[in-house]
Amino acid sequence: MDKLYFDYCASAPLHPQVIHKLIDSSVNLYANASSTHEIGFEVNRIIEASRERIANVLHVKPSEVIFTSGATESNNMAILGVVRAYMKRTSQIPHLILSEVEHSSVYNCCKQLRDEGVEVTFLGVDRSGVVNPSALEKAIQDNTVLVSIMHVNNETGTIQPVHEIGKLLKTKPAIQFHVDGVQGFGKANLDLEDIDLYTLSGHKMGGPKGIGILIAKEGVELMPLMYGGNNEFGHRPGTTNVPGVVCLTEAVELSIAEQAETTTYLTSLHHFIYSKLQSIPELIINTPEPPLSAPHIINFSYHNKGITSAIMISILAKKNIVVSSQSACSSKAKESRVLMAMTHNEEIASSSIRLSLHESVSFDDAKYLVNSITEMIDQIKSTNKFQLLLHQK
Amino acid sequence: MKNVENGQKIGELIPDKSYINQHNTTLNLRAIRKRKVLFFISLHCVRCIDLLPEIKKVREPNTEILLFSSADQEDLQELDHFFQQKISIVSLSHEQAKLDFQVYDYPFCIVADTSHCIYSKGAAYNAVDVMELIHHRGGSKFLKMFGKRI
Repeated sequence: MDKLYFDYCASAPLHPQVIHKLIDSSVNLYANASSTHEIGFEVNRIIEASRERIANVLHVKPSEVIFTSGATESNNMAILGVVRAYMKRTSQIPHLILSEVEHSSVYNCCKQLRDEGVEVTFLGVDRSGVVNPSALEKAIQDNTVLVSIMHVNNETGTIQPVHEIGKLLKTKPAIQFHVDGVQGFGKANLDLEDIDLYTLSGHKMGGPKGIGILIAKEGVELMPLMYGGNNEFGHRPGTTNVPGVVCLTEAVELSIAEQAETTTYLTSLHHFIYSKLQSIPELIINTPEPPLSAPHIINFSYHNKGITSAIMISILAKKNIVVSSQSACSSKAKESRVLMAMTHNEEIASSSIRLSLHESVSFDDAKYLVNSITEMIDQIKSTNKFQLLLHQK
Repeated sequence: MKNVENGQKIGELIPDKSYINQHNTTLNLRAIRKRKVLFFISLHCVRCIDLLPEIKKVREPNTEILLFSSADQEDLQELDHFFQQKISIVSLSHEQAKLDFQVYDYPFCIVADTSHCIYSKGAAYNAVDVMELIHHRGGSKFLKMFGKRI
């Protein structure tokens, strides 16, 4: 039996229409886009045409589209870029606000800044993992320069009130609003009008790894992370990853073009799995019910002493089911920081499983998944949990 | 962040320390006259969990297997049942594993000879990896691949 993959939040396969673009561009577009000769210039034109296509899809200007190596770089560029620009301009200590449940590339970046003397507020969330916009407003200080709140949480699928927060921050022009859109893009609608900085990742939307986007609106001042050539309007030096850009462009357009159909399907798949898991009394469903959550993520915990996420992942692997807990970037931590922030319960936070769905997952796959989880719970209740590691399906 | 080697150095002696195993018996590592295979695992680590059934396959003459884990008493008893009381299982926190054995990353395996000298170490993910570590004197290929923590 082939393995059933339910870890699409960590990475998704290349969209079929992207695959041949990857091969074609890798083979034919090998020149350096910064070279002044004709071949380089042709490649440069393709890059700029890609930039324009992405700008059209996102309703921003081409000059606001910065290609990066991925979401981690985009997030770091947004946060460190704004903070350093402010400090250079004013020689003052800035203040940042983010939530306790941000991705580690945002959270750890801000933690590092805090250790370096920047003032940072980590906003708590409620049991559903949602940030309270009123609490955010109360946290604003005179020296607040940046608010960073993700659109959709990568562990639980919780949708944050970024539109409401954006409108609130629009009245405070000194504060930049950054949104990590990695898990929300193509799944939950988002208007970038009130957002100053926006992060996307290629391999989460059917594009390749090693490419991402930072949207930085005109007027946002950013210090670069690296120094070198004048690529990406001086924001990001380094030879452009041409195949990455070409494929990412295709993936962005396809995500939007297929969004309605994809989300309709995912919503029904999500509902099926969610309602089945809700009927298992031993499980705690950490993902809030839609519409508070995106249609492709379900997170649950098995609240039984001694059962860890790692044990459940291994048992499900024996049933040919591939799942994860936490984000891939945090996968070695004992407990989920996100679930600790939501529940303040170590047992829930260290026994979670994240299921992430894709349009290629069938209802038969979903039924097998639910049956396997049910079977696993029954087996754990009646057997030495380590004995289950010996069983092969 | 410093680039730190995982586990004590090859050629060093395993620590002259005593630990209490799952049967509440005190074990002094230097009192074990056999070859010693020390496993360091965490129940929160998927690779460690996958290694457990593989450890059951390791059968070497004149060899004592010791499993160090931060598991609590209840888990220790379940592990003891799983291993059919054939190995010693010790509850050891990650902090203590760092202090006693310089082990930072899991899963990890240290092999010492009958004179308590460490002659092999590395990450092991299955029984084949373990056997390679046991039978490879002077350091394992895994030392080069996995011995360093970045």
